[in-house]
Parts: sequence; structure tokens; C-alpha cells
Amino acid sequence: MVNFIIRIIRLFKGLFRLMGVDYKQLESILRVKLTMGNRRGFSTSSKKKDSSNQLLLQTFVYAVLGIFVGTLINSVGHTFTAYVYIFLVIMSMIALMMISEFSVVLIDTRDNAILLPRPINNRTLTVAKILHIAIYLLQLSLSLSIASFVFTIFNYGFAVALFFLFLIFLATLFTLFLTCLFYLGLMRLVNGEKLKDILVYFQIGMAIIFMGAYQLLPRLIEMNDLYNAQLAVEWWTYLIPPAWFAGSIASLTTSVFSTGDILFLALALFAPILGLWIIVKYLSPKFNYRLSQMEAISSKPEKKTIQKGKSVKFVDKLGELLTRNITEKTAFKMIWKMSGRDRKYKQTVFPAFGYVFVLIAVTVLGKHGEAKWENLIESKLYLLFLYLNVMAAFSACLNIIYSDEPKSSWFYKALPIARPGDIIAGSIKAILTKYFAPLHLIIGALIVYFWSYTILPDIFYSLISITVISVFVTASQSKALPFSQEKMSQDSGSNFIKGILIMISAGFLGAIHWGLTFIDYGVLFALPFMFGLQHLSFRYVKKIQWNQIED
Amino acid sequence: METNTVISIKNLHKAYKNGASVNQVLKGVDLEIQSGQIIGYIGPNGAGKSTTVKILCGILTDFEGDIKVLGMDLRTQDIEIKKRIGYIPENAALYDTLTPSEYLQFVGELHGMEEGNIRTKIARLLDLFEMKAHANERMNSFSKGMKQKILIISGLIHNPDIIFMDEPLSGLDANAVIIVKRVLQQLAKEGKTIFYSSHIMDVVEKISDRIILIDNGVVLADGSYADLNSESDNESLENLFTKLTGNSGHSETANEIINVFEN
Ligand SMILES: Nc1ncnc2c1ncn2[C@@H]1O[C@H](COP(=O)(O)OP(=O)(O)OP(=O)(O)O)[C@@H](O)[C@H]1O
Ligand SMILES: [Mg+2]
Repeated sequence: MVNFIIRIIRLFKGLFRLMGVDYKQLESILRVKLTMGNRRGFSTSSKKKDSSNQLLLQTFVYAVLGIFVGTLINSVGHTFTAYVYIFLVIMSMIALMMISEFSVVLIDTRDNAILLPRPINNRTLTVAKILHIAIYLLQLSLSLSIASFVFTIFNYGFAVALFFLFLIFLATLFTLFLTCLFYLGLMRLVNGEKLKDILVYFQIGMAIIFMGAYQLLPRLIEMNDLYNAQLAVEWWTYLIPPAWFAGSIASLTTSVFSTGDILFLALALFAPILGLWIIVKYLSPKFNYRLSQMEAISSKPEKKTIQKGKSVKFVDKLGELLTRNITEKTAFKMIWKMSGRDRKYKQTVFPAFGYVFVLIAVTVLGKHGEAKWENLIESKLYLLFLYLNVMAAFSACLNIIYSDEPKSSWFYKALPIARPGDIIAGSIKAILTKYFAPLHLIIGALIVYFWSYTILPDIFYSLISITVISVFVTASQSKALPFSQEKMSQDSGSNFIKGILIMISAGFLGAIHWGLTFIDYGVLFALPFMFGLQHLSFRYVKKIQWNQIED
Repeated sequence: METNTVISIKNLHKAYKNGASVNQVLKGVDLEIQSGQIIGYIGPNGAGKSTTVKILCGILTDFEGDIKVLGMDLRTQDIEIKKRIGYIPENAALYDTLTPSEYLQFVGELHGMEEGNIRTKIARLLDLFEMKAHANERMNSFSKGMKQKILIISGLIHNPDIIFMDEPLSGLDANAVIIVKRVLQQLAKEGKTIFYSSHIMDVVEKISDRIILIDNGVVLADGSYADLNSESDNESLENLFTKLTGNSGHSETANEIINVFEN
């Protein structure tokens, strides 16, 4: 894949030379950058040189995703409207992907020490960086639009389809311009570690939006409405970039060129070129400058004094209350703080919290209509809402062993701790109290609002029962100390197992709970029993010995 | 061998701006450095050593003052300068998902070296640094010293005239330290200039032709070890360092620390 891309770039050798670029250096930089991108996210221990092919894998995944986009061509009757949607989806997907997936690749502060002291002229460095981003974006946008391309051939013929690809190319350039603006804006506001933090929140938001859109949109949009949708062209339509490209292609399919169409065409052609010119001329040097400023800041973290204020005391009190010995309490406090700071943790766990609400929304919206809403209130659907939260609990607990910097967990080994089980117990308690419990209470509050306060015992019962199962599952699934493992993106197999575990556990607990609701005061009576089980579960965790711990 | 000035720094100022706060790191540094010398650049943590080196290598460009390297102006002829200098950074900045062969190949290409030449050089150097067995492993599993060896090779591979090294010996084993020291001395003898910062005082004392001490952004002392020592009687560089940076009473501090630990 890398060689293939390089070969395409080589076709433009002459052009680059004309621009004052040292082509050999350009090719070396691109080759190295692409190779690294290709190896990204795979196990660090892998010794083989080319065991990975991220790029090809991604292309495939996006091509499949693109099929959904492509079907818009036939499911929307109005050509212009259909293509507005297509360009809108593709442009926003690549922009978001860019920010969420490739920030690490782009904001690479190692470049300062590696590339800047070498005799590379500014032009070459700038072009190399832009090409690197452009290659990623094009890879994304082209694989996303393969399906649309095919649909376009069937509907409007080959010539129009080719023009469509050309427009995708231009749209990508324009998106590149927009994302560059975004990055620069962000870097102006914050730098170093803070920037990376913000990007993580961005990723979390993205994950939730994707999941939400995927689940909700099909339910909200009636196929008929979609087919009959028609965007009228108003004066402000000319301000929406996807409309430029859609307008150009729509006019080609009808071969009628009004003034408006020509304006669209002109915007589609010249805006990206102008954007590219602005990037090369103004944005890229600024970007490089900001990047060169970033290095030491990120290696020497900003002086962030953490005030020992009320919240710390609150955590201390909670720790006191919920733990039994000093090791456990220390672990509780440590993990409480660290879980809010470890990027890898936030990045994998926070989306799950969002999903819980997305799924609740899906269930509620799936039943729109007055009559159904009445039924909902009479049903025991609240149980489903409560047990959906198993997802958040499991995700929070099972990910606690992973970290960005697993190496820094050596100190557990160095400390004279008799039973590592205490650390694990303390950390599970911290995680459940910090994330799962508040979330559960929010869901509980919503339920009380819609149903009635008589559900309160159920809320507490479910809180405890989910805690019990999370403790057992965490302790049996992954016997490792908190933040001590490196997460490998290859474990999708074990993700699948986790998914199954979540479903089975939620179903099982929900079923028992459902059974209890048929007995008068059943849930109330079961509560003490559950407390007992909870006690036992932590006993079980605390028994974990050093020899059972993975490193 | 005739010596001539290869680096001249006049009134160098550098401040880091982070939002509203300004950290003035270099406050008027003046230096003239001759070829064929090993310069030991020392100073307390945060004195601005790495900052100076980064400026001289063209990594940081927003400084004030005039700098000429090899007779060329650093602001306008940076590319020409960069062709003839080598830099070994302080924290192991490497593209560590690459293998040493791939990385060094890349560095060679950036310097416009001829492909066959790069290859034979890499093979020889990796062998000499006892890294041959790891030539095709990804560097993210390397130890600190292993990475440091690759950094050293990558800074020297294009046969530069001036070599800037920031803590070059950190993490190296005793054998490698001896070898690198010899290499540096030999290179200096051939007329190359070596400008390096270090905290290992006895190494600095032994191999430097000239020692420059900075603190608080200004040069505190400058001269050969013998020069620095002329006023006091035969003190170790370590003691000189202490005296010049105005830090005494180490044993009190140590006692104090122990007190804190034991209570
Ligand atoms: N990118 C940066 N942004 C802001 N401040 C910086 C940056 N890089 C360095 N500094 C500050 O500049 C000062 C000098 O740093 P420098 O790295 O040059 O010190 P040093 O002499 O190399 O120290 P050491 O012996 O620890 O390597 C320090 O106060 C440091 O905090
Ligand atoms: Mg330093």
C-alpha cells in the first residue's frame, strides 16, 4: 500500500520540483510517515517488520461504510438533495475522522528533533506535511465514495461518475483546508498536553455521535419522507460547501446550466484551490511554528497545580467510608484521580456512558406515538433502562487495567504490599463509585420522574446487583493491576467476548429482578441478600495473590 | 592543524512564551568557538543548555541576537549549515515504530547520501556499536542505551563538521562510554568541533578542551579545565561547579532530606 501511494506521488515529481521541493527528501519523509501510520496501533512487542497493514484494513472498512452512503442516491428522489447529503456525510466523516483518528499522526512532536536539524527546506517540509494529511484524507474519502461512484455509474452514466470522483477530490481538499483551520484555532487556544486532552474529548464525542446517528437516524427518518425530500436553493445555499459539489453534479446530470449552477461549479472548483493556496502560503508555516513550540511543553508538562480543596477531602472521606484497609484506601484514592487523567482510559470508557443514554433514547423514540407512551409507563421497561447500565459498569471496570503508559505501573511491584487483591478491590470501588453509581442514579432519577417513587427500591437493588456482577466479572476476566497493561487494538476478539458477557449478565440480572417484581416486596427483601453477595464478591477479589497477577 | 572560529554567538537572548507568562531563559550569551575542540557545556538543570543547542541546530528559530555557524548566518543560511552539522537530542526522539536500519536509512536519505554508501555505513556502524542483532527490530522495544546508540549513529552518519550533543552518554554502558569518548577525541583531532552538554563532571573534566558553564541564562565561567582551576588549588570540576553556581552546604541538604525521610 505504501509503495503504491509513493508510486502515484512519483508521477507528480516534476510538479514538485517546480515548486522548489527536494523530491528525494519528500519521498523519504512520506515513505517513513506512511510506514509508521501503517504500523500504528499494533503491539509494541511485534518484531516482524511488516506484520501490519492498517491502511489496507481501513480502506476496506470505509469502503463498506460507504455502501450506506451510496444508497442515498437511490433513496432520495431529488438528485441535488441526494448529492448534498452524500457530500455532507463524506465531508463531515473525513473531517471528524481526521481529528479523532489522525491527530496523533499529525501532531508528532518528535519531528522537531528529527526533521528540523536536517537540511530540509521549508517548502519541502510544508509540502510533505500537507501531502501526508491529504493522502490520509483522500484514502478515507475515496474509499467512502467507491459505492457512491458505482451507484452514480448506474444512474447517470460513467462520465458523470468520473466527474463525481473529481468533485470528491476537490471536496477533500476543501475539507483539508477546514480541518487545518480547526487545528490552528485549537493550537492558538491551548498547547501541549492540553491539546491532546481536548482531542480525546473530541474522540469521545465522535464515538457517541456516530453510535447515536447510526441507531437513531434510521428510526427517525421515514423512507418515504426521505425519498420526497427536496432542498430548495436559497441564497444561503451558496454558503454550504456540500451544496457546491452537489449543485455541480446535479447540473451535469440534467445538462441544464442556470446562473446558479454556474456559480456552484465555480465555487466547487475555485474554493478548494484557494483553500490549498492559503494552506501552503499561510496556514502550514504557522502550523509548523506552533508545533515546534510544542515540544518541550509536552515533555515538561504545564505547571498544573492541583488544589487540595474540597473535592480531595470528599474523596478522602469516601475512601474512608468504602474501604477496609490502608492499601485499599490508597488504591481507591489513586485510581479515583488517575482514571480522570489517563487518556486511554477516558477514550475507551467515556463513550460507553454515552451509549447507555443513546440506547435509552432509541428505545423510547422507537415507540413514538401517544398510545405507546402510555403503555411504556405501565410496562416494566424501566428494568431495561437500569440494566443497560451494565454496559457502563463493565466498560469502566474491565478497562481499568489498560493505560497509555503501562510501564509506569512498576511501583506496585516495588511496594511491600502483601495482597494485590486489596489494590484491585480499591480500584474497582473507586471506579464504580466515581462513574457507574452517579450514572445509575441519573438514570434512576429519570425513571422516578416518569414512573413513580415506588421504583426506588428497584433502583438500589439494581445498583447493588450490577456492582456484584461487575466485581466478579472483573476479577475473573482480567487479573492485572490498574493501568498496568497496554491495550492492543488487535483484541477485537476479546471485545466480542466482552460484548457477549455484557449481554448475558444484563439479561440474567434483569430476569431475576423481573421475577422479583412479581412477588410483593420481593425487591425489598432481596436487598439485604444482595448486600451480602456484594460483601462476598469483594472478599473474593481481595483473595487474589501475587502469583495470579499478569504483568 | 589551523584553528578558526566555527561558531560565533553574539548577545543571544531567548524567551519561551506560554500564554501570558514569559520565561526568559537565555539572557545575553556571547561565545566564540574554534574548530577542532571539544566543548563541554555545563550548568544546573534548567540553565538553558538544551535551549542553546536547539537554537544552534536551527530547531528553535525565534531567538534574539546574531549567530554565525561555519561563517554563515543561522537565520538566512540555515539549510547550508544543517548540511554540515549533526545533532543528538537529549530525550530519545526517534521514530520508534521503525527499525534502526529503516531509521538510519531515512536519515541518510535526508542528507542526500548515496544509497549504497548509506547501507554499508549503517551495517558497519550497527556492528561496531554491537547493535547488529537488533538491526531489524522495531525500536519501541529498545532499552534507553540502545536507543541512545541509534541516536548517536544518526547524528554522525553524514560526517558533519560540527556535532551538537545533548547528554550523549546517558544510558550507555561502560564500554560504549569509553568508545564514544575515544570517537569524539579522534574526531576533534581531525578538526571537527564537538559541542556537548553533560552532567557527568568527571567525563567533562577529562575530555573537554574547553568548559563553558552557564547558569541563569548567562555564561558564568569559560576556559580549559586548567584555566578554571588556576585560582583555586586543584579542585575537581564537581567542586568548581558547586562553587560557581553558588550552591554549597550539600551535606546539610542531604541531612535535612534524611531527616524528612526518617520521620
Ligand atoms: N518549549 C518550552 N516551553 C517553555 N519553557 C521551556 C521550553 N523548553 C524549555 N523551557 C524552559 O527553559 C528553561 C531551560 O530549559 P533547558 O531545557 O534549556 O535546560 P537544560 O539546561 O537543558 O536543563 P537540563 O540539565 O535539565 O537538561 C527551563 O526553565 C525550562 O522550563
Ligand atoms: Mg537539557
